[in-house]
Amino acid sequence: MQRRRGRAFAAVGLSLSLALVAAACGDDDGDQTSDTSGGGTEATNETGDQQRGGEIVLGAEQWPECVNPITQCANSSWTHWAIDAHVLPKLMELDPEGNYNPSPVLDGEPELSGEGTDNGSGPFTITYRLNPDAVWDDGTPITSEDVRFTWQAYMGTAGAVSLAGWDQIEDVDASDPQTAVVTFKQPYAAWGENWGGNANYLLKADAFDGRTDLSNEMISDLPFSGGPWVLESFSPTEAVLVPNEAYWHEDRVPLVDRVTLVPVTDTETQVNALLAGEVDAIYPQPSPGIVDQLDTEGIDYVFGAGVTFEGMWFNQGSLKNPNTPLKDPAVREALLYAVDREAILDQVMRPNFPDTEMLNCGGWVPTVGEWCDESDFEDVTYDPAKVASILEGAGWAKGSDGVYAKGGQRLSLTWQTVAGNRRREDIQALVIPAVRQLGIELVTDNSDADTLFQTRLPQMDTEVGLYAQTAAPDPTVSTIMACENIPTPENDFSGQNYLGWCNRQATDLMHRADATPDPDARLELVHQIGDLVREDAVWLPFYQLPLFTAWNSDKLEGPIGDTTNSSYGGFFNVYDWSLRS
Amino acid sequence: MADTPAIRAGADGGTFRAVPPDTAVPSELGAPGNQNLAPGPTTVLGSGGPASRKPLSPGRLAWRRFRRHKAAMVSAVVLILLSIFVMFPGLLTDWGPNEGTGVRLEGPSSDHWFGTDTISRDMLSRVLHGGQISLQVGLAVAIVAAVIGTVVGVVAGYYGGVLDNLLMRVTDLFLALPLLIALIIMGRLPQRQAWAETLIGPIGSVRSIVTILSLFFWMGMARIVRGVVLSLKEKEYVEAARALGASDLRIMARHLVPNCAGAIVVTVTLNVAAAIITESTLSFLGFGVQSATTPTWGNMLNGVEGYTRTAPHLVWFPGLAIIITVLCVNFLGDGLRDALDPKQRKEA
Amino acid sequence: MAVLSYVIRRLGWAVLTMFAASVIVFAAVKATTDPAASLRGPGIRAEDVQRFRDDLGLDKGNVEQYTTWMGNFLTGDLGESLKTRRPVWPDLRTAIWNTVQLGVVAFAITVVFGVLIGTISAVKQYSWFDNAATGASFIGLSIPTFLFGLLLQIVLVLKFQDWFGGTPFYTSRMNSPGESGFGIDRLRHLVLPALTVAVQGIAVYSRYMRASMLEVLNSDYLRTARAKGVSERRVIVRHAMRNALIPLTTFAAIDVGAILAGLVVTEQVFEWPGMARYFLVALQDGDYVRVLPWLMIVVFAVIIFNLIADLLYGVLDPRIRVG
Repeated sequence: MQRRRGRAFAAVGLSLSLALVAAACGDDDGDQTSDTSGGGTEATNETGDQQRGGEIVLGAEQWPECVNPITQCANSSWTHWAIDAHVLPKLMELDPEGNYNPSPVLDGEPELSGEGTDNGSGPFTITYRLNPDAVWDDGTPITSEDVRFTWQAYMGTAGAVSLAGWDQIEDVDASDPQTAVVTFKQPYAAWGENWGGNANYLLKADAFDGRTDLSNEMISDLPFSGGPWVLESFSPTEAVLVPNEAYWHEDRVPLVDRVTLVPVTDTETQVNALLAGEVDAIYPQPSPGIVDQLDTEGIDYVFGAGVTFEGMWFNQGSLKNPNTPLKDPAVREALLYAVDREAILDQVMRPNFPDTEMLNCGGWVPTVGEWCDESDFEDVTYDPAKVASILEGAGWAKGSDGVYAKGGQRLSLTWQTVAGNRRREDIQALVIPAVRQLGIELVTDNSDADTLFQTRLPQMDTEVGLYAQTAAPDPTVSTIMACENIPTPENDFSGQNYLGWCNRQATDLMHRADATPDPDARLELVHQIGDLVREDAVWLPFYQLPLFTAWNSDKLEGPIGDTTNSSYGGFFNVYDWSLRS
Repeated sequence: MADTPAIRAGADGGTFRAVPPDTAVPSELGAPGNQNLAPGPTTVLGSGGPASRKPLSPGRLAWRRFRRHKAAMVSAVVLILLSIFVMFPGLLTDWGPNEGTGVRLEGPSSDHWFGTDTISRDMLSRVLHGGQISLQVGLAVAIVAAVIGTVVGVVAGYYGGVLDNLLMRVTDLFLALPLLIALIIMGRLPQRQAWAETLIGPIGSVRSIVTILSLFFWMGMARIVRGVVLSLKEKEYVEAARALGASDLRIMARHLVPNCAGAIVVTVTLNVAAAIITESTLSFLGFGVQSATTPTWGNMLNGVEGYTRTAPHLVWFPGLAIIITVLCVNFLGDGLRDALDPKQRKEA
Repeated sequence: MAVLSYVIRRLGWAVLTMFAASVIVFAAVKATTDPAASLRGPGIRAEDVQRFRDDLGLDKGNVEQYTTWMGNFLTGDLGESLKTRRPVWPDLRTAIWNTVQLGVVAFAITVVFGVLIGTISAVKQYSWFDNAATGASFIGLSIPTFLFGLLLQIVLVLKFQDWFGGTPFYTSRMNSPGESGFGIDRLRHLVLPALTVAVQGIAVYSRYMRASMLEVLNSDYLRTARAKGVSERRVIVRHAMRNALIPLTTFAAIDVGAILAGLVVTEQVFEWPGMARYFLVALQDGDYVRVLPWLMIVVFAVIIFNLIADLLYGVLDPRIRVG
């Protein structure tokens, strides 16, 4: 009996896999239309040409676990980008450039008054005049009682994310329904964040029967609306927005009948879903190769620059290495010149995101206000000679292995970033060998995101960190750079100053800036802080993280992508989107 | 059902009868008790079986049978070649695995047979160096699992009773803990506790991956070995050895373990394959060996799914490396099983 | 009855195992996560984090938190999520059901095709079919799941759209927007993830079945049946397959037990809101209130099905059937 185990099966098997390979490979030809317009002014709604009606499906990269705007869920951007920002009203809102403007709920700019405005101490009062046309979705007017209630709700809710700003309010006078007079104990520069700004809202007093502890409310529903949309339903797999019939602001009345949001959390799947037409638009994190995949007919995309920025953060107070060389200012200064930022941009960022600019200020971004003073880090370029002179001038000498040493300690640092994040690991791969040649040793010590952000950073278990920070539209940096916010065992590691940087002068400036509502005076203080950040070589900024909105241009039309830079996400102006006729 | 081999590794991937579940099932059900059908191949390498009819030695016989399995032969050759190139990458390429070549994201060319990656590193060099780690991980995991599993299986099978029960229940506990949980726990503990770091190894290091994965592969081996031991325990030569005063340890080491050799060898090969795949899945989930300075096939695949259609060489070369290696190892295992367990082929 | 006492003993061990697992995992969750850490962000001061901890009672002793939880659990109260305040059980139940759907469909595909392919391969050993099936199964065993899932998305959805102008399949999720429930839409969404899971299963089951069939086909028992003049087809189907399936059943039982926590990669790639996703989100939030019931159920399922496998093995042992 023949016993052939021929190569036939191998051939069949192999050709099967080759077929799969061949099918999956191959170019997509199609023309690319990419506008790289990053955030212009808010588009005017010229609805004359756009057709009304229809439905849009949006893909959300992260899914909110609940929609409560006060408690934990509010700390996730997508809670706002997907649901809350479309439904709940604000008093002051941010435009894509990061400026605070009165929202449709207000009738003109609020008035700041009181002694504190000028001299930095003493009472400080804001008077908001409410738009008489502003109504909730049931037709009842939005009044100052709602303003007052909201303050009490934020203060009274167990597990509220932050009381910054709220706990400085002395009182809200709601005697006149159309006017809310808010009195602060001290001048508070970030007043725009209350009832609005980045992550706060105005809530409806009548919706809660007088309860001010809202920790058990608004879990899967928002029982009212003051925005263009009403939340019809919310579940772990789908959310539906429908137009708010009572919305008074003509410019933002939605054109389509229904917007459905669905989670698509895997980046690759998100792209495939857009290409397959299962979702009509996405607002993804930039990931390697994503732009090339979307260079195809029927898909448009727009780049923007967000308020998140990334760089190498130096932990002077490292508990991982209590004798860290980072305590030596010369080491930090040398590191600034030892890392080739231009190469990083060229090799890692620009091939995918051509407009990525180097970031040259230490805690702000140039696309939001004037706070960023580019002259701070402009002079920092890759300069091996300078590295040598700085280090040797401070007593470091190269050892036999080519690494600098001083007093028996080698210039060896551990470098933490998010494991499995391709972009960051590529940066490490570029920098480590280059820096080694200059006599500095960096050793990777990566962790998964949860461990890094929940455990290691707060516990100061890092040395050199590569991760992103968010610049709130408000330029305050106290939470991440002031002395009192360094995590220590005493404060149960509650602070966020993971840099371990304590500069009394800078901290003092930060406190003063936080209490200076006058924009010009504040600007001066912020620039001084920026100078000190550079002087102490606290960290090395790399770039602003690009943002990205992509959509099905065969199906949709309108000013899509104009809010890419906005704090409220690339989908914020979906009220102006329509189906192509 | 699970989509990661490690989870099935607890129940072995080949010698089907080698999932001898707990054999203390009472005989009311007609269960074989301690005499269950010989799980695993009745070994030809051991010295316990009846004298074979052919004049050739058992080893020779096994080799003959192995040679007939063409796919296994081809696979063996491929694996040998692969090992050579992986250990001596200089034979094929001059570039280092982390060296910038100045050419970014280029497809396969005469300078770079496998192209270059997103930061201009030569893919061929990375695939070869990555193979060192991936193969090391595969082998190390399979061998460590084999050692642990064999010890547990022999002890449990030989002593029976309470010890057996205890060991089997511990095995069950490990089988019951989902891969996911254990991964995450073990993945994070070393960063929080110094004892965990010494035990498991620094996070993201090859040692930690090997330690973690081995904990998922030993259970199947334990069960298989235990099954073989149970069937051999009552054989005459074991009785004889005991009568002659041989210690338990001697009996286990000299008589029982060698008779499991066939089953062990086959399971080891299959575990190597599974371990390589699991390493790549771990990297996909973000838990693998850190890639900045150490390429592995798994972490080369991490984060490049976006290039599947636009720069496919980034995906296919590491991917095919995994597929082909695992394929060959699986065929090898199949050939070994055929060689060592004659019952599975129709005899002439 | 000895069987009953055996089962009870095993169940006793099961309870112990579940308890041990819960303690281990609780400790691990507490050691490696920090619900207050989800609060990192600009504008959140150290005092905000402190207040948050107080509000949620996170500083109460770990032992106290565990015993409170265990006490509630034993009375059937699964509590509310620490983060969202949503009751735990409804969401957990949904996650179980979602994974079960996927797992059962994948399992059905696996068993049907695995058994068929394995049987034919054995009966026609070394034929082209056997060789092709062997090759294909080994390849199926050799492709990492996430890679295969990605391939399916590209080929069965995107490429189909290019070639045929449309596709009946979807890249992800359980239903199209606006649809719900188990209907045609759901089945169309199930295809890709189920195939991804099944491809490895078919490879394994067909190998098993083949080996098992060969074993049986060579046995004396069958020779007797053939000698008696029973038709070949009858021999194969009535006698050989039935006996060959026996070891497979025990293996399958264990496999079923592993479904609940086993579909990690597939659920991630295909956005399937099942048990794996539930766990990952809960863990990220440091929410032991959600993690522990999840664990209890998963561990219990594995143990129960292992027990079933053991019982089946005893019941179905072929030696009883001889003669």
